[in-house]
This record gives sequence, structure tokens and C-alpha cells, in this order.
Amino acid sequence: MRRLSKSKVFFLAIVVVLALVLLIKFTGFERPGLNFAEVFLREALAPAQGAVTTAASKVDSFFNAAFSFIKIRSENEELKKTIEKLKEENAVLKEYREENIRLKKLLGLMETIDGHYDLTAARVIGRNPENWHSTLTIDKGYRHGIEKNMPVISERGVVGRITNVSANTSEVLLITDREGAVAALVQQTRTPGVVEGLGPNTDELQLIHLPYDAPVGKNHVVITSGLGGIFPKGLRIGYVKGVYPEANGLMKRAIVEPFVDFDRLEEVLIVTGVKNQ
Amino acid sequence: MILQGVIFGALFLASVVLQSTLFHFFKIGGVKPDLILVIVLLSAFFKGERLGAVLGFIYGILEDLIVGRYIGIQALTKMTAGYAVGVLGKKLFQDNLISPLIGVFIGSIIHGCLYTVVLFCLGFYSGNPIHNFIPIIHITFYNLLISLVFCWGQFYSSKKRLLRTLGR
Repeated sequence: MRRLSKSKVFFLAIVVVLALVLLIKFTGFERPGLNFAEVFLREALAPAQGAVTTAASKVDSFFNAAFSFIKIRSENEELKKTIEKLKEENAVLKEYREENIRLKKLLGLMETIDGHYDLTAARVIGRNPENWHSTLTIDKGYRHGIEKNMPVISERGVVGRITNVSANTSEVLLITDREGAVAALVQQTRTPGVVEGLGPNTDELQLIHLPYDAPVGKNHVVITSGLGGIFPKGLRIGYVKGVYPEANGLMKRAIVEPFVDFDRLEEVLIVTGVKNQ
Repeated sequence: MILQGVIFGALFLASVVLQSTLFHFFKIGGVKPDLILVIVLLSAFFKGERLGAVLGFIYGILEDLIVGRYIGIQALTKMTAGYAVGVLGKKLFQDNLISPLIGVFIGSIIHGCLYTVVLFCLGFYSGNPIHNFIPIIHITFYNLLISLVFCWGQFYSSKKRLLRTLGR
């Protein structure tokens, strides 16, 4: 092949560059249509472009689906964790709501009887681990002014009395315990008696030392009588479920259902002083 | 000569199809590599400025016809870049991995800058042409990445051939 001289190459290059610049200038704006070469090239490339695009799209879709699956799976894990967390939060909130209701009732009671008693609220933090005694542990002790034999009540009625005190805790002997007897009277008929626990496997109480002809009947309310020096007078204990004669034929006893649900006690009030008996 | 033409023709077809289809899925920073330019630059680097300029012109004009707008711009810029890199190739030691990459880097910059400057001078770009230089840098580095793959394969296959020859 014959080689061109340098000057001819230079001249040719100038011509080519100028021609290209002119071509660019005239094809830069909108044109009425494509020329033959453009049409030919586009038509020739179209099948190959179509095939590659289809294949690439399929591969892309496959990888997208794979990545989506991974993403959805991790998102699902995240959502599960969120649900668990929300469930926990919900449980805590429900707990707060229940506590709020109970505390409102306690507050109501405190406001009602605040004129008569000095009260300290406490939280139940433990129960007797064995079956034979009915006691509770509360989170207030002598640092909070709690002393032995102070009465413990709830918004429903009498709970028991303080039997042991430490710096920050106290033990409450429930009235359902055999040793937790309370001097009581029937509110409607003013019949006096003593309320004591029936035994370790029941929360029912019995009102004993009732004369045979005492006017005590079903649904009569039993309250503290104030005798004995521990419980102030007038605190609600329970209601009479049934009246039964004693074996000796001289006395009778009444089975009393306490107003307090001892198994579900969470907050209590300790009567630290009596203002106006 | 004919075989070389067929190879370059096949390379052009493959690269223009890939660039107009598959590379769309591999955009980085909004740009895709200019495979046609990479072929022109590497060919120019190894085969000289004459082939670089001619290949740049032919590939460029064909690309322009396919694109259908500013016909001649790719021909002009690829031809110039091919020529420049061809001249550079004669001055650098070719038998290592870095030299062709330097060629591709300089060629891509020349191509991008010339493209912008020509269209700006002809009144097609009304804004600040400086804004075009960030994509030029992106394209240049993407081209370098593609070239590295080419050159790596070429470099090690030639090294193996050399070792085989020496072993014999």
C-alpha cells in the first residue's frame, strides 16, 4: 500500500476535521429524518440489541428478585423484632394501666379516710414461700415509720397487721392466718365477735363467739370493732356467707367472705396513726 | 489485513450492542464506560497513531450514525484521542500493566474535554462547560477499570507465552 507524504496526511486531517465540524454543526439540531446509513445501522443493530436487552432484563429481574427476597426476609425479621418489642411495651403499658386503676382506688380510699388515719402506701414485694402461714412482705420498713402491729388495709378492706419490721421491708400477717384474729362486729346488728382464718388452704374467715340467738344473717357486713387495740373501729372485713351452730349448742359461727382478694394484692395502706377515733 | 478488519468490526458490533444494552445495568455514578473508546485507545496505544486515528474515525462515525445527533462529534473526538494515545504509546514502555492504563486515562480525558469544548464552541452547550468535567472524570475511571480487565488478561497471557518460549 502506497504511503502518503506527511504534508498530504496533514492536509487530509485538516479537511476531515473541518468536514466533521461542519457535519456536527448541521446535524446538531432537529432534522426532518434519518439518512440511509443511520437507518441501515439502526436496523442492523436492533435484533442484537433486543436479544441482549431481553437477556439482561431477565438476569436483572432474577437478581432483583433475589435481592428483594433477601431484603424482604431481613425486613420481616426486623418487623418481628418490632412486634415483639411492641408487645412487651404493650404489656408494660397494660400493667401501668392496671396499676393506675388500683392506685386511684387506693387514693380514693386515702382521701376518704385521711381525716381519720395517717396512712402510708406500700407495695407488696413478696409472699410467704411456705403454705402454713399467710404473710406478705411489703417495701416499707422502720425507715418509713412502720412499726409492729400497725394495721394494714387495702381499698377493699382489712388485710392484716405488721408482725416484723426491718429497715425497708415489713411482714404483714394476713387476717386469713389462724394467728391473725381480729376483733369484729356485724355492722347491721352490732353483734360482736372475733374473725379468724379458717386454715392454710382457704381465704375464707370465720366469725366466732357469736351467741346462739345473735341476729346474724347472710350478706351482713362484718367490720372491725376496735377492741384489742390494733385495728381501729369500722374497717370493712367481709360479708357473711353462712351461719352455722357450734357443736356445743350454745354458740354459733358465721363463715365470712373477705372483701379483699388476698391473692391479688399488689398495693396496701398501712395505718400509721389514728387521728380521730 | 482483512482478518484485522473483521476482528475490529466484530469488536465494534459487540461493544456498541453491550454499551447500548447491558452496560445500562452497570452504571456507576450515573455513567457507563465507553467501551468503543477503550478499544480505540488500547489499539492506538499498541498499534500506533495511524491506526488509532483511522479506527477512532471509523468507530466514531459509525457511533454517530447510530446515535443520530451531532454526527461527526464522536468521529472527531475519538480520532483525535486515538491519534494522541498512538503517539504516546511510542514514547512509553509498552510491556507492562501501567503504560496502557496511562494511555487510556489521557485518551479518555482528551476525548471528554474535546467533546465538551467542540459542542460548546459550536453553540450547542449554553451552560457552564465546567459542569461536564465531573462526568468526564467518572467515565475516565470507569474506562480505566474496563481497561485494567483487558490489560490484565493480555499482560499475563503474553507473560505466559514468554515464559513458555524461554522454557523451550
